[in-house]
Amino acid sequence: MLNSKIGSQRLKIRNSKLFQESIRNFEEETRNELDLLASKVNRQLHELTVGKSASEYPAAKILEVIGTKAFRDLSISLENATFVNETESAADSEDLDLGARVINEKIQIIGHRWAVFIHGRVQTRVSAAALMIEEAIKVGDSAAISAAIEMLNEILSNPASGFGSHPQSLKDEIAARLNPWEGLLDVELTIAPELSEQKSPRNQDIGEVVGEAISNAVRHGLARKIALDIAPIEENNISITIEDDATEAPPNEKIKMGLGTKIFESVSDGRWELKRSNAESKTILKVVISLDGTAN
Amino acid sequence: MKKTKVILIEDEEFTRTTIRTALTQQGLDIVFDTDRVSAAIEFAKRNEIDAAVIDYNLGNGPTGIDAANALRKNDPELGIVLLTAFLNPLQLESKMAKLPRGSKYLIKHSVSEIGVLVREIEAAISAKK
Repeated sequence: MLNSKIGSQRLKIRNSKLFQESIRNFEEETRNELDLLASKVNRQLHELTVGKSASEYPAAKILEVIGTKAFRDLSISLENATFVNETESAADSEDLDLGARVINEKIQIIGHRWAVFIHGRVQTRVSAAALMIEEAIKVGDSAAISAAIEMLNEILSNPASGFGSHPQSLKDEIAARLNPWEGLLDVELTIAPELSEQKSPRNQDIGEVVGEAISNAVRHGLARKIALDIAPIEENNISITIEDDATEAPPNEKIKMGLGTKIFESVSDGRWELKRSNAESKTILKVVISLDGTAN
Repeated sequence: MKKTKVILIEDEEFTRTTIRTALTQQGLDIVFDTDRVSAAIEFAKRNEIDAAVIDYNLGNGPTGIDAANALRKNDPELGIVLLTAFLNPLQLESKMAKLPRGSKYLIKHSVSEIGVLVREIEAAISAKK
């Protein structure tokens, strides 16, 4: 098995109390900060609209609050969620012991998940509501202004709603990662029948590995075709093998390769390898993941 | 006068509806809107379009840049405007793919006035003529 010694050390760290607490604290801090910033903006909105009918709303002031302030404040939250995505961050430091590196690596990955969520859901909807109000003002549509305010209240009163996911079967998790690539890439998928319907807490991690591998193959290797195989191996581990027809070779060094590498490293407890055959013009990624323990 | 034909790719439904409505009010012809890159590619293969407005972050799977590159492969003359809510997308994607030549990149925050987006669409089309 790939680097089984490193795997067991990392697995022990991942299941330690310190690791679990560090990750929980980071999640809570990010969530609390987002809640705080959003409720501040929501309070200002409430003060501007309370006791008034939609036609009396001070639209220009509302736009100032959501178009400028909310966006800026949520961006601050976003920066906090993504500061860990710096390439020269603590997680890359060789001076840290393995325990600290495993924790920092995981915080980087969760920080990225938050950043994508705040960007893709929260800020995007706030911007759309601002656009809707702007357009409604032009045509004097107070019903549309009212609907936009309602939408803003909904977003800002529970900004983290929808973050994270409930375990779904491995088959569904993989489908959710592969389907968006339809039309850009041909995929030959094999999942062992005994794993297919399993709802492991690690399925999201497996999905993240698959997603990252595909985007690397397409963007950096210009692949058009991949074969993905997920199979059980000894000691409650699974192996993921992704073979692609990339025309461009991947970088040789594992170190400092960005977030994708950190995902492979963290999720597999260090048990992954990337091989390139220039003669056959293909790249093979192998990742071993333990189904023991909690979600990473 | 011939209306500018635009397709819109945005995974967030409320945002997609709002942008579609606002662009239609500005006189553009939104011939297709979708949350799926594959559907947009299929549509573009079968129909004549002038420009694509694409969200950078489309959830799991390809990004807006992947979609833009695929659409350009099909039609090298297509005008492309990428939208993002993120001031610095490099924070999301440290090894971001290259934007197709002549594409416009717009931060959603600056689109609270729809005229800004319309001007960028026109500029993206002109850049490819």
